[in-house]
Amino acid sequence: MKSAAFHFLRVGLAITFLWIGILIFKNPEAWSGYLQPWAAGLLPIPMAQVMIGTAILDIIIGVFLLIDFLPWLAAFVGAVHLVIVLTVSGITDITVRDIGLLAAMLALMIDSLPSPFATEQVVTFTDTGYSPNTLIIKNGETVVFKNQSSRTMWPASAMHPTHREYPTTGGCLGSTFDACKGVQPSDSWSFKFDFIGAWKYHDHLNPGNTGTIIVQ
Amino acid sequence: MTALALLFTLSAVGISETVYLIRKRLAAEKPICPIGENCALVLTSRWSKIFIILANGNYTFS
Repeated sequence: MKSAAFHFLRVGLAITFLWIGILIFKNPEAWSGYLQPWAAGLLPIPMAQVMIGTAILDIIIGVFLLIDFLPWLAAFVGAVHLVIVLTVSGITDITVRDIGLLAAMLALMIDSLPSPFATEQVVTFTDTGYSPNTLIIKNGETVVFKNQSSRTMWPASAMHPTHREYPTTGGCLGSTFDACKGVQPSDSWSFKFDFIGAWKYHDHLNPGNTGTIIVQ
Repeated sequence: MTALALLFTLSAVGISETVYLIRKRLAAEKPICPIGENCALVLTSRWSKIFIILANGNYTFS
């Protein structure tokens, strides 16, 4: 789960990029004065067009961050953009603040990177209960609950019987972390964990059998 | 300029918050509460069910 800190950082950077984009759009010539002469001489197109393009890029980055759409990509492009700004403008009394913005963009990108290598983890249910009793996984990974016992199991989020501890809704009773039916011996049930935390669960048919999935 | 900047900032925060809450509702997830708790009340209130939110008929927020 993305933390409150992530959203504060995301919205703050979104407002900054939107605001700067609009300011550049209103007066591109004034902002072009920040470029070092050597950098201005390298431009293949007129300065005003470059600054308008910069303004549009800043606004797009700001909108993406504001609505939380591909935040890792927006943060990556924003970070590259800031590196270019620091390079072509030099570190001055004004652009020194871009170092902080760059660090914030990198932090945002790292925190929101998708996890394409998410794997499956296995919890086995036997007649003695869930094993391993505590399983540590990464956010976005799927846990397969395999029933290798002689009876039916029904894994579901704590607390019994409402199953509301896992922070989603839309399950048959409470959260979606709920098999919603008995899983027969030799069958299995899978659930993908998208929220960081320690999530306790139990066998709904025999609530004494419990376990914990720690999502990091 | 300061008043305009303040209006712009508050508007942006409002738009962001609205998009965030709509997406949380469509995904049937509870929103984060930076201050206090029970933020989900804003999604469970009967006043939240207007326009496109109401059209999301296959979803029940319990």
